[in-house]
Amino acid sequence: MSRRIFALAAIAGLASVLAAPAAQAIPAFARQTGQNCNACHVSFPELTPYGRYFKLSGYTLGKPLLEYPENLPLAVMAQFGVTDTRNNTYSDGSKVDPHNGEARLQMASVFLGGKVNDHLGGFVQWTASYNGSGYDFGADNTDIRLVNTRVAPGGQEPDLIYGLTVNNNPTSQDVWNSTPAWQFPYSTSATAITGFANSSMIDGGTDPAGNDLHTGAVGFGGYVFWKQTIYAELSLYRTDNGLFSVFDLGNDPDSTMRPYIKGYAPYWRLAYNKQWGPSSIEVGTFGMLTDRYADGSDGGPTDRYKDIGLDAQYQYITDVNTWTAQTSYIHENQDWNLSGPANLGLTSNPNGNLNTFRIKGSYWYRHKYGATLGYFASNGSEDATLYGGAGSLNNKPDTSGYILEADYMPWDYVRVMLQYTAYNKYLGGSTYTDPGGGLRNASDNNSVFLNLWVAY
Amino acid sequence: MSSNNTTIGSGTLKTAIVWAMSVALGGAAAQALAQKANESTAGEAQHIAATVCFACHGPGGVNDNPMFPNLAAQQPAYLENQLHAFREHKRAEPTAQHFMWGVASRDLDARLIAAMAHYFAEQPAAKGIPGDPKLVAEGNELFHKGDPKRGLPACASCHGPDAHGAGPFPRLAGQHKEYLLKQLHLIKDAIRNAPVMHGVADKLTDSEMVALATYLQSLN
Repeated sequence: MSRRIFALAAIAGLASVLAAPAAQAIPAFARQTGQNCNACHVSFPELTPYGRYFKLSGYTLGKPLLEYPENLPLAVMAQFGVTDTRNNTYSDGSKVDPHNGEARLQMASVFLGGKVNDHLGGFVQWTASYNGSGYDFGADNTDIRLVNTRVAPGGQEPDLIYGLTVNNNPTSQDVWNSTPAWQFPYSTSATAITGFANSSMIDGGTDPAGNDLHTGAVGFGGYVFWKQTIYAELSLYRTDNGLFSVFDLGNDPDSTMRPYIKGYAPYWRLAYNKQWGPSSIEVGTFGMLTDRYADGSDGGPTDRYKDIGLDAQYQYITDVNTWTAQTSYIHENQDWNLSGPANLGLTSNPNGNLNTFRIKGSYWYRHKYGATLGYFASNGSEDATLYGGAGSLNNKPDTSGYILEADYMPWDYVRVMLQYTAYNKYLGGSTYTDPGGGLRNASDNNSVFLNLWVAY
Repeated sequence: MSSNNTTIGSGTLKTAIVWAMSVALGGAAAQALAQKANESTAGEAQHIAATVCFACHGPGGVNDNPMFPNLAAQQPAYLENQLHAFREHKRAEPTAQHFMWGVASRDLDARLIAAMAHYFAEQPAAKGIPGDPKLVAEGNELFHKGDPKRGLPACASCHGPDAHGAGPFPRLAGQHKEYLLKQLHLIKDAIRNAPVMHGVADKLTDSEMVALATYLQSLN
């Protein structure tokens, strides 16, 4: 009975959201400010200068959610996609993507977000994502902020914004789209092979045992944004166990399998920002030092990942023409005291390194029609067990390729995207050993992804 | 008797004085309170300008982004009218909808709208940006003389000889050329509702609009 009432309430709630007038028929923050998506986004999730200001000021522009109960602080997002991989069959006859060519729900999210008062705001995202056979449902990005904006007496703009953030994904708190959490590509096929064969820890990569940081960490940070020019942040990420497991709800039902971080992993960010006319530029650095125990342990030897990133962004935004470009380079030093030959033997060497580079440029016409060209490349040290074992013929992780994307946004809460990913190298070179034991070309992984992305 | 009268009289006088003083004090207090309320409204307006409006319109309502108009030294009556039009969804070009409808309806009420208009009117105006002398001269001619043959009135007759505006007619001096051009087109295409200007913009050619906008941007 109560479940039925809940279902009815949920449907009624959803109906009231869907019935909202077009200008407000967009997610929670747009309802809070009364502004359109493209006040804050070039195209979601890429932020405009105003969007960056909105995020840094703790999502506190507009009305507090309690003063505006008719504007539900809820939003939903879904992506329906179909993928076609160039060669979908491995050498043993098994499929790369068993659902190649089938349209399906890639992911669906529910957001709870809004302004609590002039100094407190945030959002929590829960996502169901397709895993190839079913859906995993759990906590996704979360960012809650306590902020203050200082305007000097008689001043005409803030000379200092400072605040605290609690979030569950390193760089998800960042406001430039040149750092991992919100960088291009903004969406990829849930089932095709996309991105690097191996990424650095801060870039959503996994340790040799296959665990990433995105699930399993909670961070507490302090930041300042001085005269709209200098941004500095220091955060500490820890394992989200015990009291903090709420930040990882649903992702890891067996808490003994959490990838434990030793103590608190420091994350830093320093960026220079400048705006003039319709243009803005950012140049910055970010990084993180993470020590991790073996799965399910909170003692003993650890692996150490030292990630140092450099990034830059340029945006030119007008009503008619918008140009944006982002780039990042991340160098990771890996010290495999745990995974290495002395302990688990998941790597052949006691240490290694990995470099990843990304660059993309986008053009949008009237915020409706967009085209993006991106390039990505990685290289790293040789490791016979880690990379050779995965299929690399030269024991290296090197991957490179490009992405072409065309976008159409008939309304600012609907995006139709056609994305083509092409590989020059995958796992060390233009060929590698596939999971069936035969030789596979990197270009066999090329794929076309047609996606309908709706946010309400 | 007389002393009694005097007593009564002085009593009446005292009462009158007490009343008068009370009224005066009360009035002064009310005035002080009203002034304080005005000051706090003005302070609130300044705070909103410095923490919300600045993000697009620049500190003190002066910016270098042609998407967003300069607001400094704008006519307060014009600003009030526009803010009310945003709030009541009567000014409906896309940028107004995307940015201003929300700000004007979420953050402002009539009291604050008046204070915001007053705040921006008091700010030092944006400096003019010199343009192509030929276009400036052409714009100058058209602005001050119009074209009686085509029934095109002189812009200066409403916007003032120095384009500083008057009451509901906006200041145009020092405004971004691109913004002025966009508004002229929006008015001509009846996307922005401005009955007086519609008849004027209708008669302007594209090249005349460019000359006018170039001239106006060059003014201080």
